[in-house]
Amino acid sequence: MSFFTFTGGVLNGLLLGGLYAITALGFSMIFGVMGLMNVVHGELLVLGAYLCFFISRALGIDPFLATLIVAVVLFALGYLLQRSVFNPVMDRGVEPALLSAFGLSIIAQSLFLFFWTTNSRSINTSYSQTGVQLFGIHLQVMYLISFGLSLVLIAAVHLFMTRTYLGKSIRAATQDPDTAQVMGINVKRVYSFTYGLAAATAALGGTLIGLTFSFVPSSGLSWLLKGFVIVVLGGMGSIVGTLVGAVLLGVVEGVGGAVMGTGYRDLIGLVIILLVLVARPTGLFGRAR
Amino acid sequence: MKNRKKLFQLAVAACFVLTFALAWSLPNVSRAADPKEIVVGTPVSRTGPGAPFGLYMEWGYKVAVDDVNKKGGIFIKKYNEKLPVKLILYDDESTPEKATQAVQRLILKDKVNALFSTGNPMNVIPCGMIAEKEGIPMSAAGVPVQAFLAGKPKAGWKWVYDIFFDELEMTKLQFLTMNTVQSNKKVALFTDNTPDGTIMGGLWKKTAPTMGYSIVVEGTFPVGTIEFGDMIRKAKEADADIVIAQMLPPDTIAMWKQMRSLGYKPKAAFFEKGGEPVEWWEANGQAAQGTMTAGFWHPALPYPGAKEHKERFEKDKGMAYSQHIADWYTAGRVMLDAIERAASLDPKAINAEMAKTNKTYEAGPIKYDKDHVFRMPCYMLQWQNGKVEIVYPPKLATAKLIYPLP
Repeated sequence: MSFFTFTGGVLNGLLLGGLYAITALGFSMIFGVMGLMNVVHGELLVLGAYLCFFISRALGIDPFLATLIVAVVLFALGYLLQRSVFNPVMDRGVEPALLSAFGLSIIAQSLFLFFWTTNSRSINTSYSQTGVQLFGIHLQVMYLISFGLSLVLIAAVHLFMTRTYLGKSIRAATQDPDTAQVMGINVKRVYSFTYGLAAATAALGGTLIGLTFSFVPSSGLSWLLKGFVIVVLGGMGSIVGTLVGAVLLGVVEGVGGAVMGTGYRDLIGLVIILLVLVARPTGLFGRAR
Repeated sequence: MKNRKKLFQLAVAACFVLTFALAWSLPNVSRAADPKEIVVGTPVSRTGPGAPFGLYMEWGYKVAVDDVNKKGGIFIKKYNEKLPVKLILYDDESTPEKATQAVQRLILKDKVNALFSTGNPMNVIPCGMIAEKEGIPMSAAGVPVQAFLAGKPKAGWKWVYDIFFDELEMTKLQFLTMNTVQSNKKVALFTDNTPDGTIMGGLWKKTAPTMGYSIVVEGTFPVGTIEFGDMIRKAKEADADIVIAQMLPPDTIAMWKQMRSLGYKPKAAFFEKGGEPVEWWEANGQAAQGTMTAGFWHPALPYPGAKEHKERFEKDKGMAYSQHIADWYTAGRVMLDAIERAASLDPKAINAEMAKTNKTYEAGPIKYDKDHVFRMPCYMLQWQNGKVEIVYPPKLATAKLIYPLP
């Protein structure tokens, strides 16, 4: 194995981490703010991919433009879901909301199958199957785009959370919902907005999945598991931690794949993650609760 | 004391009455009602990674049964009348657990007279074991022959039959096709860790050197892998002109995209399983032009009804055909014909007739050997402008081989 092959694996892994971060961001936000393990997040990603696929084809527009439309649709869907399904059960402990999410996940997969069949889909553009060479190392354009977008998105969400009134309300509701409520913050509405925002990020995540890989109705589960690993690794509730965790996972998988082979990527990645968690159980940027 | 005696007497009297009542009704209960229909069933992959093939399974079996029912059913001597055929299908979710549960349910609850089969060796083999144990004949298709034989019980298959290609023949086909053109004879071999991926990977590794080819890069990975950059970079570095892959459609689509993104352009690409269904072309568009997949059926083959069978599927479903419309349909027809020849619902009689099958169907001349398999001849197919064309052997070719990949 040459230096270029190894370095290519590591670099592409690092860039792939950007895509991982975008797909995991919504999951991280909901978990951090509401403590809800949103197991329907994978299906939101897949829904984003399907909607982008069909809208971009129907309107003849670039998938990233279609994503703007999909983001609005998914924001509205997410807002409604939180308001009508999760908010009513949030006060009754963890289990009812989790079960609701499971149920929604199964319903979503069944609907995807019903409407769109089991055929694999892929979103194709002139740039989705091209690469660039950097000092002799071949990098995939989609990975570069994903990494760039992840930096922008994470920065935007971070700024939103720290510099806007709504963002501060979300943080207040995260830290102490009861006190936030007393202080005049409508916590349930904050939760609904957060879920909508998380779903909107899934629109971009789904588009990137469709452009870079392929998807079927059941693709959501593998992305949900990836997101879970990233959130735990990065620190639950930490937006920056999500990016760092995702990039770290991408790099570790890249090294593992380059050294031991593609079949061992996921295994090596998970072993390293476990070792990190043994040393730091709250994750890289998490705080003990 | 007196009350206890009375209670005992009452209980004894009640027993007599109950026994008498049962005896009175026994003639009605003991004689089971004559069956109103012939029941056949199978799990099919409606969901999960095998679902792209499940569509053809389901269509093939339904059409086979419909064809029989249009003629009024099958004559059963014992009842002196034609009985319609009822087909029961359960979703196996492409997993062996669900497939075997479905077969058990079909046998124990639905009381099937015969079984068709789902696809994929990892599902069919355990289902076949149940059929063997329960003594119910099963007509399978879509299981590569060596995988089918590798999974057989110690005494061999007695109740289960298979129609599909033999991997020994299929894994030579890529090299035979490449022998008709110039290449550096270096092969990058990528297989998933399913049973047929493992078996065929092993056969390619064995066959390649005997035919003058060398496997310069090898990659094995679990189903659902999304990132193939490591293998692709190694294949590019090794300058492999030929890629041979055995993997499912979603994984193949992801890998092909990444090959193009990483600037790896082999001269020939053989995508077994993944490059077969029409969704391969639909997902890739023109990027799939020139990719190849080993085939076992084409409507241009000289089998009676082959062309019409393809047209029937396309009219029914409004989509392009797959070669799989032939094998599962034929497996269904073969079983139904066996029931017809037996003119009986007795599993042993049906099984005996299955073994005697010797007829040409849309999939070809079906005759099982002593191992209960029929080997479908293999052809190399190539995607050209949205259609698959036979490109090898040359005498059956429907189009010229596109080489190298555009």
